[in-house]
Amino acid sequence: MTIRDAFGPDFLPPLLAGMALTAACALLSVVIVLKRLAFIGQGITHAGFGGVGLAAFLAATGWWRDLAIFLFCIGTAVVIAVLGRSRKVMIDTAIGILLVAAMGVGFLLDQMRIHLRGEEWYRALTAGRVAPPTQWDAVLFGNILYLRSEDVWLAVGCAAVVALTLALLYKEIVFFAFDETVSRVFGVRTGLLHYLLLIMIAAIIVLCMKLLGLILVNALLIIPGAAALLVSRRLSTVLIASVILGEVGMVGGYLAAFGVWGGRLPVGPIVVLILALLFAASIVLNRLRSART
Amino acid sequence: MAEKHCCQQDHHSELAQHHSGDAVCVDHVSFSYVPGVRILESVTMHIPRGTRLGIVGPNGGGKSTLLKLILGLLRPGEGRISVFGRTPHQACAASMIGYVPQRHDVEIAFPLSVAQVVRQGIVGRTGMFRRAGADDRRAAAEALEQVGIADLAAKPVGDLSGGQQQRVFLARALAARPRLLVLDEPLVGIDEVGQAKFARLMDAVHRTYELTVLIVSHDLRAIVAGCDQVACLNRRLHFHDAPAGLTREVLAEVFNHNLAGVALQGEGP
Repeated sequence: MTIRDAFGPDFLPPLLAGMALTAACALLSVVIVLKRLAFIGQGITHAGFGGVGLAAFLAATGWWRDLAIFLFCIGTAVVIAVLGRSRKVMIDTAIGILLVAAMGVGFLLDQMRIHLRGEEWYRALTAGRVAPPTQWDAVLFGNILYLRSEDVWLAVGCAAVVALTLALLYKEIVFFAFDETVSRVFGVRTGLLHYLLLIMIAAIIVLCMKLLGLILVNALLIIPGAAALLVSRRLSTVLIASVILGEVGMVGGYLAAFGVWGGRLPVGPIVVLILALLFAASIVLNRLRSART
Repeated sequence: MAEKHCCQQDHHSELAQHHSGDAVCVDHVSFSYVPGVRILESVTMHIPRGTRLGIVGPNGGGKSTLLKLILGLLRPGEGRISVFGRTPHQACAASMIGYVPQRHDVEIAFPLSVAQVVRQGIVGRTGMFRRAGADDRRAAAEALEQVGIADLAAKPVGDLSGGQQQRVFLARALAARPRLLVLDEPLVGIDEVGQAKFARLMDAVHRTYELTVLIVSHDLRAIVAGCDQVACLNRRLHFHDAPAGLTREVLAEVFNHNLAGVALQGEGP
């Protein structure tokens, strides 16, 4: 396989889907870093394991599988948000617990379906369908070639919705991230924004699962924004820089994966490594600049 | 029913009595975070329009809790609070309250300019999904002018000194064209020159914007500098009247000794 193949009809759709999702993640990552939601993102991504297990248990495939994972992520996000708003439990404690609980449920459900196959009620529940064995390495690290051509439209649509939502609620979200309590006094509907952000993050995570996997998607949800914030102190510039950095990582990783070693390298890890290097570079740039002033 | 009850039976402050023109009515409000431990106990207080009221009290005396109740960030366990005849929540939604939070160190990296922070003040007035109109943008520009930092408008807010950041937050509150201005510990971390400047600024602001002002502080200097009335809060409201005749020295002494139990006027030692 050569670089030329990477832009051929089989590979262009996943690349386009990846670029669209990367843009959405990069925009969200600025909010995630500023509002300090990175750990919540971790919690929601790990909830995805629970969703994968649930989908396998219910023998759900295709869209139904995606929906099961999405609902599991949303459910976890809501529980995190509700616990975070109460004064009884510290939010990082709540996330730490839900994270492992969701993973446990996921693996457990995935294992149980094998042993339940003989049970009458289980066959009734799944209507006799059997989901293929769960490929945990794909769940963990993703495989961009799993993106179906219909996923491209979903990815582009989802990215457009995220970008549009951020644009329409720009002033509210920025105030919310800057100082949540004060923004509430000034008439910002903070509860609505909080849940809206969590829903967008959960939806993006499900779509990115095939792209980067549940662990590596956190790279796209944190690194572009974190690096861009080191590059500029103007919010508009930060948002643009974040998208550019994300796309450099995505496209660069894609080309390297298919061009360097005959297409034998996985895309996800290379994307993440490029993003990490870009982050290191922006730290150096930031240091150099502040040393000069 | 509120009319008959004074915050202190033997002290008939006119401010404890309800009038229809009140900016803020706090009516027998009690609040506890933990069941059984009351932070506020039957607090009744009425702030007439145009007044500048200072609330002092020791740390843990319930000042910031009362503030959060008036701002609608908490709901009272018992009693009722209204701001210009509305619930605190409604008053906030209608941009009637301008809030200057306690100055905490602004995240240096937060990529916002001074002008952008001040324009946050008009977010509620503009409404969701809309761009700010010319009128609102002008209000923000005027507020920036009023607090004397128009020349810093383009600077990142993290680059400013504490006193300058305080002014930015004051401008943000004024940009909302509020009717009630609430300041939480405005002088913390500001030197004496800055404090005097701030007092003059608050005077000018009060005149220009025809505001009712509520200042909460554990520092009596902040209150004396710019208030017509003083209330002392330590779980209950202990004193609530004009600080006429009270010198800075007297208040400072009272504060050092026993703020909570002392009535300053009329029945003082």
